[in-house]
Amino acid sequence: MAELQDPERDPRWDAVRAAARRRVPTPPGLVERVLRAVARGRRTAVEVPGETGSLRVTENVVARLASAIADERAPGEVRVSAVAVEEDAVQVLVSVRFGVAADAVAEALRQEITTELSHRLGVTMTVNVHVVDVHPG
Amino acid sequence: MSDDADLATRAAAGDDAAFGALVRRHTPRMYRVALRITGSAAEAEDVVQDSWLAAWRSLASFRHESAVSTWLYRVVTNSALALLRRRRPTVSLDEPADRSTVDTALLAAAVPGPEGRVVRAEEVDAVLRAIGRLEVSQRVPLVLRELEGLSYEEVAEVLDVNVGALRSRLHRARVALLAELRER
Repeated sequence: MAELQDPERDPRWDAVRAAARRRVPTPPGLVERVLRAVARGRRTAVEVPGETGSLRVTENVVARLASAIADERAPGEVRVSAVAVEEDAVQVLVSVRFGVAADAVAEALRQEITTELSHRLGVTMTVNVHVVDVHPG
Repeated sequence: MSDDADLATRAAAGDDAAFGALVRRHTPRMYRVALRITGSAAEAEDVVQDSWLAAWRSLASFRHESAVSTWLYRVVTNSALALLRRRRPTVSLDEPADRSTVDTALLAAAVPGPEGRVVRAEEVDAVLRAIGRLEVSQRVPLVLRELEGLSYEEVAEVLDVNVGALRSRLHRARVALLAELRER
């Protein structure tokens, strides 16, 4: 009963204090990855001029948008591995099921993403789809 | 060395070096908090990146009414909670996969004592797993108070609750943690 009233007096609480002292190493390169992510988040990927100002969309937002579209539109035989904005274009890395015509499905997905991105952003961005792997059915 | 408030002021004014210094100084503890809340090294990395993006966006509106470190605790805690909310409902916090992820990350960090090292490491592992099984509403204040060592006032500020409510939530969390430890 005393334990319930004051858990910190329970002998097991020593292990909680020990857990607090346990060092948690920061993954190598995390700081650099954070700084790159923030830089991407600040960099403008798309600028749409308007009458009273312009709309700027950062690379980070474009990549997230493209990633969501790719996941939504990719057919069953295509898996989206990664999406990034590099060299002023959306780069989509995919894996296709073994036996599928990779060039045809990649091109269909590229067109889907290009059209939907253009619809949502108001400007057309270059989209490249890279088939980087195949997977069994 | 510049203090946090000075770095935050300079970073808000566009000084990238000052922002980088803040990131270098605070990322280790933000990662630690994110890992202890999410239980996953990969998700903790995402949380830290999201947190710094959020921090960068809101630097200009930071009023210095709290310490920079407290503010960053709030940012990372909110990001971790947002991630937990986004998780698929079918993925339980009690999933063994989650626990093994946190074990791997934390076991690698064990600092063994000269004697009884296995027992102590196992006890610590059991505590961390038990904390991972607590409800989020109990786990988060427990992580901030018991593992991070924040004061009641600081935890209350991070979670935006009053100190009285926090104290009772923490008491329930401690009791729940001991019950978890007894069961295993």
